[in-house]
Amino acid sequence: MKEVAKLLNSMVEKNIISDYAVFGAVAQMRYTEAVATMDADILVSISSEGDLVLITPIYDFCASLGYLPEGDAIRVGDWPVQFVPSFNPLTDEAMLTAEYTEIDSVAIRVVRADYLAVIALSVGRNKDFLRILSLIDSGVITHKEICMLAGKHGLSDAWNNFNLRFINEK
Amino acid sequence: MKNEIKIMLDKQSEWQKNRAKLSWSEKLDQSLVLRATCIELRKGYDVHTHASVVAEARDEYEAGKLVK
Repeated sequence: MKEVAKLLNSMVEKNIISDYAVFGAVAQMRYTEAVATMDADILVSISSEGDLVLITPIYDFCASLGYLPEGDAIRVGDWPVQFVPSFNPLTDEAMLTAEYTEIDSVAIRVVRADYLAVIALSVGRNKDFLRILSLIDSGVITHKEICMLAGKHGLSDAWNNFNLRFINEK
Repeated sequence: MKNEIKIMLDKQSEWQKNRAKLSWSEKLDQSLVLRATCIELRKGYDVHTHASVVAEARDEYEAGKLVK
């Protein structure tokens, strides 16, 4: 992951992307025990032409450094890395509020636990629900924090349904 | 390959005992091994928790399916 962090920071330095934050399972593992995951998901903010978001510069930059596509991802060391352009106000805010931390002494930005949970809520697959439960179990976020952030982003119904299905608290 | 699985399982047992002490970087290394274990067991990537991977792998291992 150190190699991924270095790559992401150099992308910002070279203005390939304006911002980034690790999210998904890799970010989750800051707080929970390890889980098996297919790749490292990275939210990125990049320039767009009208409604069209171009990720070609990311692929070109990676290729120039010898990092080549592998399926939907780009292989960086041990990790297939998937670059996901921010896709709604929730993910925009998740990047803006992302925490600065380090991985093996290299700086890296990571989405906060509350945003990880609410992004998972918005996606709504079984593995996303499992992520929310794992984050709650880890003690890093509370039901109330998720409820507030979910409400802010129009996900109150999704949160209530999640509560009824998995937690059964009102 | 069978010896590699045994090594993975032994490592996972050790990690599980010490998981509270693991750094993020160590857990990411562990995740890579979990993924490799899933592939070795031909369960694909869709096995999502450490506990389930370890439990299933250990069952097969102890049943002698993985290591004679």
